[in-house]
Amino acid sequence: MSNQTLEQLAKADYEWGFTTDVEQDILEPGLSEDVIRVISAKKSEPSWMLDWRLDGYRRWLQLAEPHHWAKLSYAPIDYQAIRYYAAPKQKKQLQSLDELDPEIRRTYEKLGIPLGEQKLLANVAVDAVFDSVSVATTFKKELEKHGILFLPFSEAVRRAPELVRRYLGSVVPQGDNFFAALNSAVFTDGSFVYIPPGVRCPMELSTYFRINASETGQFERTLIIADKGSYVSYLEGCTAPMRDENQLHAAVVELVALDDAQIKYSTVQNWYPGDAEGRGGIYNFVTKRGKCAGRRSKISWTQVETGSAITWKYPSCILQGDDSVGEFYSVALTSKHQQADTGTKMIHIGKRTTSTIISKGISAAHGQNSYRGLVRIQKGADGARNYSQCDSLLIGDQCGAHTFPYLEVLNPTAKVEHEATTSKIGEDQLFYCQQRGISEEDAVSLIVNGFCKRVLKELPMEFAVEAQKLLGVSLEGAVG
Amino acid sequence: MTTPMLEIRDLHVRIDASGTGGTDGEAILRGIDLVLPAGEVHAIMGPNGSGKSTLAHVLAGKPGYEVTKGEVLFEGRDLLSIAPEGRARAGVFLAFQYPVEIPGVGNMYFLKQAVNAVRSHRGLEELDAMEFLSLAREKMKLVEMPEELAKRGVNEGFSGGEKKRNEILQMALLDPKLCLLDETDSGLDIDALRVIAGGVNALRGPARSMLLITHYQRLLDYIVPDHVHVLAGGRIVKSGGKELARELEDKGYGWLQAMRAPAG
Amino acid sequence: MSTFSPERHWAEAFAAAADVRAGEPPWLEATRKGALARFAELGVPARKHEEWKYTRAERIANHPWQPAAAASIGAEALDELELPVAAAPRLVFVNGRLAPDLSRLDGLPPGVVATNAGALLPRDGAWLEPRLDVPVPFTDRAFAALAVAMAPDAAVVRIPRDVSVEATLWVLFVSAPGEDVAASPRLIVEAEPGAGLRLVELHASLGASRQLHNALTEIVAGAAASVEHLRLQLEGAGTTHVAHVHARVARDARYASRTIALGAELSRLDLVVTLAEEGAEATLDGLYVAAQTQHHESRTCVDHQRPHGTSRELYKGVLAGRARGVFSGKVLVRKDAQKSSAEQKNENLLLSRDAEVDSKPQLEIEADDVRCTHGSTIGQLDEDALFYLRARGLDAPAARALLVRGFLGEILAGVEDEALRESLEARALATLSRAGVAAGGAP
Repeated sequence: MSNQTLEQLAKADYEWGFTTDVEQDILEPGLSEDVIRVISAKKSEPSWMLDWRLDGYRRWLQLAEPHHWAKLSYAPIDYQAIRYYAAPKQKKQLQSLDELDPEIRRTYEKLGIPLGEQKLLANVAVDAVFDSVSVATTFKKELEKHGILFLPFSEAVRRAPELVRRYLGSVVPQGDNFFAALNSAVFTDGSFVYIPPGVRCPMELSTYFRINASETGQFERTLIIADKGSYVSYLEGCTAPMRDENQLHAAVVELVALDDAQIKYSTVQNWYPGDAEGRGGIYNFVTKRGKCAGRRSKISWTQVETGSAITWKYPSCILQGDDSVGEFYSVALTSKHQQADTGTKMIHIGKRTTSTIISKGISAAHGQNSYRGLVRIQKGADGARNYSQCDSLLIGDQCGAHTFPYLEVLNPTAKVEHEATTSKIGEDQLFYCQQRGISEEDAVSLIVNGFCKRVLKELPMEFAVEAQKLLGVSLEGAVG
Repeated sequence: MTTPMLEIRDLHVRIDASGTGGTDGEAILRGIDLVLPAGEVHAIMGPNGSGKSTLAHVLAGKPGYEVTKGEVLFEGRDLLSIAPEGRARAGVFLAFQYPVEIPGVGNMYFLKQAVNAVRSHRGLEELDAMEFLSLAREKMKLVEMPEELAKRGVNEGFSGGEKKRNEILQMALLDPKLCLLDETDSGLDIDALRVIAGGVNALRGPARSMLLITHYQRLLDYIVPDHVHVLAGGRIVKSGGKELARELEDKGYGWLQAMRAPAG
Repeated sequence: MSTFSPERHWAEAFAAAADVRAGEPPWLEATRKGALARFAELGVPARKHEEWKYTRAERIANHPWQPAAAASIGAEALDELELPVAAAPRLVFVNGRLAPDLSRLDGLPPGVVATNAGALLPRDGAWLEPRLDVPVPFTDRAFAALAVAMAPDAAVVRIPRDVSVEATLWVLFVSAPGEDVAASPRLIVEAEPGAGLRLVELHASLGASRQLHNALTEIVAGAAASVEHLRLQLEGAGTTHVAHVHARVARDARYASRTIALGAELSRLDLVVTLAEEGAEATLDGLYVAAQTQHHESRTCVDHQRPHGTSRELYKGVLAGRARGVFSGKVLVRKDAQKSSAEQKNENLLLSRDAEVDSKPQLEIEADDVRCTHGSTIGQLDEDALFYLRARGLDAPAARALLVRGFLGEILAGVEDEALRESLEARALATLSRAGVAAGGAP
């Protein structure tokens, strides 16, 4: 085990930083109503979808970029310098996955995501999103046997328009915030999931996002609806090439859980973080929110955030149904010159709603890591419970860790508890491990994994292993 | 003459405060000479602040100390130039006075990491999970360690006695050549002391040497040393047989401190 | 819609009060004008302002307050306060001005200065000049700037090097009845190196007039000095109390702050403690009790600037009726502040359906070798404990009162003067019993 970890640690910084050479269908940089019309036309969307986008665009024009409260600093983003659409050229509609452009197939293989049906990941269905479009979705037929819809978003607009119209924007409205409005206007693809009543999804659903083209932004939109009594576990992974420029990723994820439904949403975010001097990297401004609309419903967010130059995301739960449950488990690691301002919101509306927040922030090198979380107990939320624990670990003396919880309680029967600690990896701990023959780098990854364990164990197996490796690689060179 | 397990020659040590922005500290060890042959158990006794723990820390390579003079040979090789984990892999084991808690890291997992790091250094096959578990179970009996403790994080929430048992368990698993036991008796009641001493005695052997560092003679009733050295003011001021410990118990350290050679 | 402008209003009020400032040196007039300009420039914080998220500044500022005129009150008015001040050395300020006849300073060690800035100006102007300006942490706070511009005078306490004052020194800021007036009580305290001081700062109003009290306190604890500071906000029911308190703690000095807020309709405390040098130590204890429609916000910031600083903070709140309590506590550990240790805790008790608590503890850590923790809890009385007491024969109200007393006790226990402690506890329980909870008071 220790040799394996060492090997991982010794590997190059960001091994996902290659680019793929494919023929592109790409828009010139810039954003206007016309650009939105072109995107909508490329996707052969119905007029209601275009109107919805234009509404988002008009709201975006009214909104200001949220600069004042997040603890992030970055150069202003020029929204007219971004390409809002880039897709690998496809000659015709794919009849089967075997017809996929071999270059793209190789890209996903290099990333450890084989898309050929015979080599499929055991028990994981994958939707592969390459720049602005979904290029492949596996296990579609198998899933459809259970009545499960797992579709690229653009296909869902055509195949399940009534579900899309009913739920799109029902959790994150177009005008929710600056980045959500931008996404509403220009989103290109993403995944759509519908689990029918009483169905327990027989496999993990997963989307793998890959930014490839330069100067492009990625604006995907994911919508998951778990109907009454259903269950789904959904995974999301992301990587991007190494480039000196910053690239914008502004996604929106909406989850809806009806009575007794459960959604487990896991993310391993590994966008390119920029180099050791802070050049390049993805700006990751993401709005993720789930609504526990039904009684006894449950939404659980687990995230491991190791990538991106800037991370701005607060996966949240609106606990509307009585007895509904929200969970947020997060590991955020900032090294190099990365900055993360991340956390969650738990809005308790229904009676006896409960939420748990476990956040582990690790700061190394010049990393800046902030936890920002809101727990709000509304007046009618009798017997609501929240427990939050936010721990920060510091490695080195150039980094920072910050905790900004907001607890707002309007009901006397609620019980809200918040705990936080900040500490460094102790020299005593390192020496103790070394005295038992464990090298310093192994000791650090041992301690970091111990620190994160409570969160990592929430991840599905394959992802947990992946996440542990990522934490080790991201910390390489941060110690000593 | 065979090479001794450990040979300390004129060792001078002071606190190295360069990392903390403070000024360098005063000398703590002021010329230690000691020879520990293979198979022997020596006790180092002395009043608080005499430098006993510093000696153990320096031998194990703890950062924060500066060796200003002298050398330390382990099986005839220079010990001080080796990194702490290298010393551990070569067979130097320190049982900590204050074992460190490492939250979230499972005790068994940690021990397996350590054992395999040491084994692979010695050219032995790494143990798989099952092999390790059966080895660990066997050694746990030695220190009467409840199975339940193995499942917790390293020393996390352990009582003082449990932590010390865990140290001796690690010692048994890592199979070291030189054991440094730093105040292993502190904070133990008599029953726990008996168990731990039993574990230590079981590990005595012709190829293993031990340095017992203690303030009290009590430990030496259970682990009988071949030699006793008294440390005061950073030097060994008296050496003798096991009866010296008894003498110290009766007379205290005062009469020895008067013997302390003038500080250099 | 009226177009009331607080900035314009105070500019006019400042001009109209020129006679109050007659005789002041030109530098002081410049300081005041600078502060007034600062107030105008900053403006009244909008609701979007992160620091004014939970208390609406317009609710405080959008009112044509008139600066309080000089007033005199009789000695019997002090008795009305029902506080054990009769024998204590004290400075009494009425409407922001020293009342010499109510003050008594006998028994203070030689060299101790306890007076008003006005009396000190002719001989110690150079010492006062920097101290009368806006304290550094508050240069961007509109209300602190306004206080500097408008305060007619200031209480000044100065303890010379290595002198320890045995007795507890009281500084009382009392406001006389009067509708729609604004007072600006100011306090400047300096404990020179090695000095020791126990101080009670009291804010109270006579009657229940609608008033604004915009208070400003600056405390310096020099090297190895010790300052214990008990701040009591026992204002009347019509008062809006805005306070800025800054303490600068020097090398190896110790500052112990205890703030108790029981009064006022709306009150907001901004307490900043700067651990400015190595080995500085601070404790911050706080209690806020609010019932009916009271609104109380406590904001604290402990700024660890240098290594080996220690801070420990415990703020507790009890909210009943339709009251709202806000706690916002920041612990800042700067890059140079290695080996800092900071603990912060906020505990709240919600006793009614319509009360609300907002708690915002924050850690901002720039150094790596630190140990910082914070915790926050919001809940109601422990049902198990209530049942336990009832099983021992107490009726429900008595059991509740007992538990509330226990909750308050953790902060009140630190008030050494027994008579004062009991008086504060009785007030707190009375406030709550008026709201129909925790009736029973003392057993």
